[in-house]
Parts: sequence; C-alpha cells; structure tokens
Amino acid sequence: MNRADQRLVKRLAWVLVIKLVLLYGLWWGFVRDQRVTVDAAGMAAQALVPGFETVKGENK
Amino acid sequence: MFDYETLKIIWWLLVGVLLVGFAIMDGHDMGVGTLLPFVGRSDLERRVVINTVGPHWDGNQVWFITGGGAIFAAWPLVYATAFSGFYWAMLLVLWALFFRPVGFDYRSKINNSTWRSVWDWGLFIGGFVPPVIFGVAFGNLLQGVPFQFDAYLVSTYTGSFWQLLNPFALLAGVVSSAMITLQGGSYLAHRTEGVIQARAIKGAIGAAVVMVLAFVAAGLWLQSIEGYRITSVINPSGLPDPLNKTVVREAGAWMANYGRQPLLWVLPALGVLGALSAAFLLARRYTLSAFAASSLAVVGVIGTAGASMFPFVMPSSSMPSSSLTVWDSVSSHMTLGIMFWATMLFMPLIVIYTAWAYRVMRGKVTAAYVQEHDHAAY
Amino acid sequence: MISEQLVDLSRLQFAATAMYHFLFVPLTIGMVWLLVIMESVYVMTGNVVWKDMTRFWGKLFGINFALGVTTGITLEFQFGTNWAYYSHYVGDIFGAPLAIEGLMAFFLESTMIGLFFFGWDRLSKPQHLLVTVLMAVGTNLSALWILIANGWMQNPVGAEFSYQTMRMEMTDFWAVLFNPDAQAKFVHTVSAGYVTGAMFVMSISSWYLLKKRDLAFAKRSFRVAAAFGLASVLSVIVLGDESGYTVGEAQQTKLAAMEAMWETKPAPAGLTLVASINEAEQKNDWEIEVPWVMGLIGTRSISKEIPGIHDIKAKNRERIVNGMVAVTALEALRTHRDDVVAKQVFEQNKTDLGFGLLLKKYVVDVSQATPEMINKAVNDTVPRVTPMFWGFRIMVGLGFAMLALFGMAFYSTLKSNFMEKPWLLRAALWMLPAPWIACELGWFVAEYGRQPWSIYGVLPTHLSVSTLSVNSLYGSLAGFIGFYTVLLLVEMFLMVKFARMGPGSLGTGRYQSEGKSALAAAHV
Repeated sequence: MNRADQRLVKRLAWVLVIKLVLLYGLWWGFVRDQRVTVDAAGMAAQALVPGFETVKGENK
Repeated sequence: MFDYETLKIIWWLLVGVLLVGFAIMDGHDMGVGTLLPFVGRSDLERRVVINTVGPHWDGNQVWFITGGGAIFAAWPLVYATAFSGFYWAMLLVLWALFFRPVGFDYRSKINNSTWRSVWDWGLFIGGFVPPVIFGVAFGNLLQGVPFQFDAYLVSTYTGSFWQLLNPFALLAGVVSSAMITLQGGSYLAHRTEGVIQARAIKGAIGAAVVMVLAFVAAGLWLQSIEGYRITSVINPSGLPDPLNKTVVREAGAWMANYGRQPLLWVLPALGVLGALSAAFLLARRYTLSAFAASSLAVVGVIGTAGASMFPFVMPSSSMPSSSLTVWDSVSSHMTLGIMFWATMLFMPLIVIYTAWAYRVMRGKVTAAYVQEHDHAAY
Repeated sequence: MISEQLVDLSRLQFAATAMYHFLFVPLTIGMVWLLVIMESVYVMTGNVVWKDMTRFWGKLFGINFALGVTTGITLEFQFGTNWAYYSHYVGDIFGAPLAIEGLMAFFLESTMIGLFFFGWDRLSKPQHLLVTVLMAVGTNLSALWILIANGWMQNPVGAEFSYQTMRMEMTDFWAVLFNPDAQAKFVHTVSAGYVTGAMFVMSISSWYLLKKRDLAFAKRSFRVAAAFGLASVLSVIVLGDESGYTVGEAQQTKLAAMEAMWETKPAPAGLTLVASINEAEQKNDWEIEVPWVMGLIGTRSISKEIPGIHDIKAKNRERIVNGMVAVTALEALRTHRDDVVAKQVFEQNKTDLGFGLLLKKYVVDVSQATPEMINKAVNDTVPRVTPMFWGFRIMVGLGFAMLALFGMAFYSTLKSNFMEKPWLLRAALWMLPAPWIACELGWFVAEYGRQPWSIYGVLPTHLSVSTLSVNSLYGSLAGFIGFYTVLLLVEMFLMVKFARMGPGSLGTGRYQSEGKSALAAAHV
C-alpha cells in the first residue's frame, strides 16, 4: 500500500473510532436505562375487550 | 377485467413465475458464487468465473426484489406474516446478499491477495446461503409454521429460528442448494473453457445427483407429512377473510391435488428428468442444452411444491384455520387487476432487454480477456 | 399492548437503514445524467477526453451504486420484517408502487449498468449511449415510484377503509399516481439528486484544478457540473416551495411544527426565520419574522389562514373523540357482523377512525380512555417543534448557499476564468458534504414530521410494527450497524483512492498519475 493509501486508512480508522464513541454515548444516554422499564403506565390502564387481546409473542 | 376468483388464481401462477424466474436467473449466478472457490483455483481463474456473471448478476437479483415487491402487492398478509415470522432467516438472507454488490464491484479494484480472497468468500456466502435458507423456508411451509391472527389481523408468530432447522426442512435446503449449484454449474460450463469448464461440469453433475436423490427422498417423505385441507365451503371470489374457514391436518393431504389432477405429476417428473438430462448433456459438452434442461428442472421442483400446497400459501401449525391461502390473503380486486396489467406490460420488455444484454456479452470468458481488461473487468 | 421500546427500536432501525441508503441514492440519480451528458458529447464530437470522462466518473458512479443496491435490498423487505401490521393494513395500496418500481425501474437500471461497464468493446457508440440513457431513465423512474408510495403515506388519497377485510383498500389508482404530494416530492427529490451529482463532480474537479492536474479533463468536468448544478439547485428550491404548499394542504401539523407556528396568525402569515422555541410552554420566546411570506408560500393566497398548533390540537381533540366512537363501533361490528346499529355508527365516524386508534397507545379498550389519555393523544398529534424547525432551516440554508456557489461557478465558466479564482475552487471543494446534509435533513423533516402517523390520519406508527421481541430488534439493529459501518468504510476508502488517482486509473496512458510507479500504487 502506498503512503497516500496508508494515510487514508488511518483517517478512516479514526472515523470509525469516533463513530464507536458516539454510538457508545448514544447507548449510554438513551438505551442503558431502558432495560428496567416495562410498560408500567400502560399496564395500569388496561381494560381488555374479549377477542381484541393483542398477544405479543416472543420471536427469536 | 377478470373476475376476482380468476385473478386470485392468475396471481398464484404469477408469483410462481417470479419465483421460478428468480431461481433460473439469479439462481445461476448464485450457483456460480457457490462454485467459485472450487472451480477457480488462482486469481486469474476466479476472475474468469466472476466475469461470466459480472454484467448480469445485478439485473438477475432484481427477480428477487421484484418477487418480494409482488408478494407485497398481491398477498400483503403473506408478505407481512412470513417476513416478520421468519425474521432471523430473512436477516441472514439479507446479510448474505450484502456481500454480492460489493464483492463483484470492489474485489478486483485492489491487487492484494487477502483483499481478493475475502471478497471471493463473500461471493461464496452470497451465492450459497440464500438458496439454502429459501429451501429451508419452503420445507417449513410444507409443514406449517406456528402463527395466528387476532380479530384486527395482527399476526403473532410463536416459533423460533432454531425450530426452522428441522430434518425435513434441512432436506429441502439440500434440494434447493443442489438445484442452484446445478444451474450455476451448467451456466459456467457454457461460458468458460478448459480446466474451469471441466471443473464446473464435474461440480454440476455431482449437484444433479444430490438434487435428484434429495428431491425423491423429500417426495417420499411428503406422503407421511401432515398436510392441510380446507373443510369449510370456500367462496373463491369472496372478500379475503382468513379467519373465516376451517382447516384440518392429515397425513398425505399434500398429495390430494395430484390425486385429483394426475397431469400434475409432470412437474416432479420434470424435476428429476431435467436434472438427469442436464448431467447427461454436460458430460457430452452440450452446455446450452444442459442449461435449458437445468432450468426445466427448476420449473419442476418449484412447481411440485406449489402444486402440492395449492391453495395454501402459508399454513399455520398452531391455528390451522388462520392459514393463509390463495383465496383469503390477497389484495383487492382492483389492485390485483392493476398489478396484472403492469406485469403483462413490463415482463415481456424485461425479457427482451435481458436477452439483448446476454446476447451482447455472449461467448466464452477467457483468461486473455481478463488480462487485457485488467482495469475494467471485475 | 405493544411495548413502546419495540416501536422506538423499529423506528430507529428503519430511520437508520433508510438514511444510510440515502447516502448513495441521490448521487446515483444525479451523476447518471452527468454521464449521459458527457457521453453524448463524446458521441457527437468523437473527442476521446469525453469518453474518458464518462468512464472515469462512471467508475466512481459504480463504487457508489454498489452500496446503493446493498442498502436498498434491506428496505424492500423491512416493511414486511419490521412493519407487518402496516404491510397488512395498507399493503393493498402501498405494495403496488413498490412492485411496479421493480418491474419498471430496477430491472432496467440493473440490466443496463452491466452493459454500461462491460459493453464498451461490444456496442457501437450510439448503442452504448442508449444504454447509459436507459440506465438514467431506470434510476429516475425508481425515484418516481417510491415517492408515489411515500407521497401516499403523507396524503392517503384514493383509498377507503374496509371493515370486512380490516384494511385500507384502493379505490382510485390514478388519484394515487397523480397525488400532488407525490408529484411535488418526486421532482424535488430527483432535483436534490441532481444537485448532489453536480456537487460531487464539481468538487472533485476543483481539487484537480487546484493541483493543476489533468486540466483538460478537469476543466470540462467542472463546466458540465456547474451548469447542471445551477439548473438543478434552482429546480430543487422551486419544488421545495411546491412541496411546502402541498404539505400545507394535506399535513397541517407538519407545516405548523416546521414553522414553530403555535398560534394561528392573521393571513397572510409571516415567515419565521429564527426563533427561540419554548417547548415546555408551547410558545416562542422570541422570533424574527418576514411578513407575509409564509402565507404566500403555504396557501398561495393573502386571505387563507394557516392554522397554528393550538388550533390544530383543538380540532384533533374533536377528531379523537369521534374516533373513539368509530373504534368502539368497529370492534362491535367485527364481533357481530350483522350489528346494523354498530355499522351505522361506524360509517358516520369512520373518517376519524385513525384518530381513535391513537388512543390504543395508552389503552386497549379506547372507550375506557381517561381524559388524561386523551390529552396525551392530542399532544401526540403534533411532532416536536424544535427538531422540525431547525432541521428545515438548515436544509433551506444549505440550498441557498449551494445556489450561490453554483451561480458563481456557472458565471465563472461563462467568463472562462474559474482557474484564476482559487477561492471559488476551494469553496466548491469544502461544500462537497452540503447536498448530503440537506438531503438527509429533508427526509428527516418529511418522516419525523409525519409522526405520530405512519399513514397520515389513518394509521398510527405505534400500531404499525411487527410483533417481534425487543431482543430481536437489538440484534438486527446491531447487525445492520456492524455491516453498514464496515461497508461504508470500505466504500470510502475506494472512492477517495480512485478520486485521488483521477482519470489515470483508467490505464489509458493519457493522464497524470500514470506511469509505472503511480499505476503500481494501485497494486498493493
């Protein structure tokens, strides 16, 4: 690889590092706490109409 | 315009045509990808192999994309239920396909053996993985998969990805992969010469044998698999209402259509004879005829599965009456009509300019060509 | 009830994959016409530099196109994988343009691109030009059909809800095709693509000119790009205006949010240039306004008022209350198909059915909705103002900056003095990212501005998702981010490498950066 290409790879590597840092920051800020929340507010207000239960199954 | 019932049957046939078209056209370049690491042993040989499909693979892949779009337009409930139900299978197909556009276009742009080797394996993944998964998916459709609808027609799929990998479905995956490899090998035999052609022929003949054995085995197995049968009276021209029918499961139900219409046996026969003829013709170097025979085998195999299941498209193992059929998972009369005319208008055009593209690029791809066009060829 | 986290992750995944796809699409749409222009000149004049231009810019076009295809397959299937209820509910209308896009456009562009790259030696000059033209037609038709689809999401004309099939069904195909929203969007979006293509070629050409390399090649490229760019940026601005008008007609909440228009102003309303938005108190602390302009753009009249957010919310409150009645009647009707009273009540209120469905976010049986829930649903009907207001303004600001750049660039080509203006060339170079930022912001405004709806006024986003587990979404999102990040880094490496090499990478012997040592640089 010539020098110009090596420089380009280094710069792209920095772009990747910055992106990973930003993604980590976004995860830390928005996602981390979500694990605990289960739709508590929604659960309280439910009154189920027969036949209109929307059962949300697990899908892997 | 046609009546609603006729349009529903037409669309079942058209989706079949699109699936067959996909398997014949994109199937042959996926078969080439599957064979790539084995028939091409040097960088130059691999470039020859890649350049046989280089100009065509992208147009061929559109059969897949349009197939998906057509299922969305004609059978929206199938599109919704199948694609979300088979979530991880769909993602694996998608991610495998990612390797193709970049593999083809980027591989030879840098002259580094590691770079090129990585993309070669990427092209292998992109060619090998999707047909296996499609076969596995079909194998599961033949057994039914667990999903149900609520009164709003919200679908819930209760199976897991691992449940899809059951023995019968894996056998169907083998059929599919072998069929695609035969298709690719036949094409490769026609577009290459010398040692590459010889290897392609060997690989294709091997694939044909595997395919026929697996296909026959699957057919025999199918007799004891619990198929599906509608027991309530269906109004074929009625508004689609998937919850408004009763369905039973019984062993051998998938053979019922063949019993009623013996002419359908042509399809599995075509599957077997097409593959065997292709192998025979390849051994004698009648490569174009072999490709045609292999394509007929594709028609036979896919047609067999479709004819077995008609009118079912996606049976539900957990709530059989929720199964999706040709009668009750369709779009409106108006949409089916418009889409029919759009397809009739554009399909012939597509065939014409695709044929022109193949004609322009016809002939054997040689090592000399690749060396002469080092900067331009793939 | 559907978990809010599932909805948020599904939205995030769609937004991420769609915006990623749109990094590559505008360049494809625009650059292809530049290739047509360059190749046309070649066919007409026989001057080989124009063939080299077609082939070199075509090489960069191909590097970009590969990722356009890769990221595009994802979207074709994501409606089914992650938005299954949406696909059922509106597939009867929405599926058709997608399928037609495949039949009419994808087949054409994908077949022709093979011949474009491989057919130089096998096709005559006019034949190869035809291939390039068809490739351009294919890519642009693709934009047409997907924007007809998206236009229908914004303004769902030509369709009615059927309680028998529990979905929207098409009643008028021509209405869907000639939806003014779709038509305005189409011309605006392809114009944005043309701007992107022009900026790309002009920026890179400017770099060659600044380095005094391959001047014959670079000057001609610069001229073509400047002219094409000026025409395109004028088009994109005018059609942006047209879109503003259609949005004012069909999506009042989007317009009001975009303009931070809390109160209905007397007609003709002024255009707010900048403002300090106070979301908590639902007002602007201060704003700078240009009188009359918004009223003229948004209504094409001086007397028609544009409703402000507070008035819209009041109206939506009524619609939600009617909608509750519609939903309850519908559910009764589905349980007992021959319930004549329920049918009548439903028919009377069905235009507000979607508004009733908004309450499903808070309660399964909407007839049990509390006043607090209704308030929340009312507030949901207007998207957040701050991102809409600023996103829109940055996009427009960039548009006018590009207008200035292309204007000066074009003028300098008329005077043939761009080589003496290094400041202009450097400006062109630095503004390379501008069209990309503008394009992404445009889509953000269009899609975020349609919330809480996936189909405006008909189907709320929170009801549109597939019933998947949150873990599945984390897994798929991680997979897409992983794959796309690696692929984009690879693509950028190749794009920059070949752009830097310039036409020398064609191996013709006619350009700088060729010769043994430089070409060997291509071999690692």
